Amino acid sequence: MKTKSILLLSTLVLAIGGGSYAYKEYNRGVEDASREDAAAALSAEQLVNEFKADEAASNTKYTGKIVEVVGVVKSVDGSTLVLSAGAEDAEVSCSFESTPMVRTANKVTVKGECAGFDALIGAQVQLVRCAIVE
Amino acid sequence: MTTRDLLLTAALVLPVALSAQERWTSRNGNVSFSSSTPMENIEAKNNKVSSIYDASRGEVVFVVLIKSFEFEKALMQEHFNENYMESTEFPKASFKGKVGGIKPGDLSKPGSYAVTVTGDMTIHGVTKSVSTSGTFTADPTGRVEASCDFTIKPSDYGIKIPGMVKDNIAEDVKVQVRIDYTVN
Repeated sequence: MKTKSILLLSTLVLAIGGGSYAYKEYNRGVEDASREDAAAALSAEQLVNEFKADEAASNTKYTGKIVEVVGVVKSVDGSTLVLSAGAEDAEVSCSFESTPMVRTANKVTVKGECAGFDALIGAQVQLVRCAIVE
Repeated sequence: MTTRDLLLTAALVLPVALSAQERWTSRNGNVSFSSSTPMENIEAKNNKVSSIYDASRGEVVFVVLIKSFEFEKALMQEHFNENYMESTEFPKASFKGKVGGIKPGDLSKPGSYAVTVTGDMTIHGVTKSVSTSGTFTADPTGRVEASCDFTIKPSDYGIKIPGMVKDNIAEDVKVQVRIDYTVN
């Protein structure tokens, strides 16, 4: 009887524990990249130029990876910060959870996950889950 | 100025003035999608869609980076990218097609224009011919918004949904496109 109730109790504890873990995991929000290690650190201009030169190779190198990008703030619109990247139509567009506290024309370092390259209009590398490093 | 000079000037200036009015672009268009089943609802939005609408040729192009779709729940975003869209291998979706039902110059007059859109959609490395309808709305300030709603079947684009979550993901995913164009 004793063994039985201990078994029952531990099953119950496991079920509740497992259930609450699954529930928490299911509802986990999207986190920014601030606590992840960067696979590369470079300037916005360098990053865009590498994609311009060889998009396929750069996708393999950067897309889906955490990168730390230094650049000058071109604009902030809502939760999107755009870094200049040399040429007038070249930029790195960074998505944040909320409006980042930065000033236009200031130099900042952004950490985020590289989403790839869009060259339809100018040349744009996109980063998601961004955080300001400095 | 002689008549000849006038004609020459007009011939030089007019095409520039006209073509300048005919190319509409956006770098921050919105594409969102939703899948609803009795099990769960999944929504995601991407506000970095780039698009060019060339009114003189009646052509429209869209480029969408898959990883720039934002979800409420991290797990959904991870599964979407890693398991279903394989977005590291196929980072981009695109559409290129023809717009019918609207004439060059129409968008310089305020109004709402119903259009048809036909072309090639590429998702997950698979290209399909698609056809849908949409609306261009030009407001008096010169702002132009394009909107379009359609559905896609993940299975048409070789996107495999594992049996375990089959009941959680709709066979027809609703897609909503909203683009604010500026002329340039």
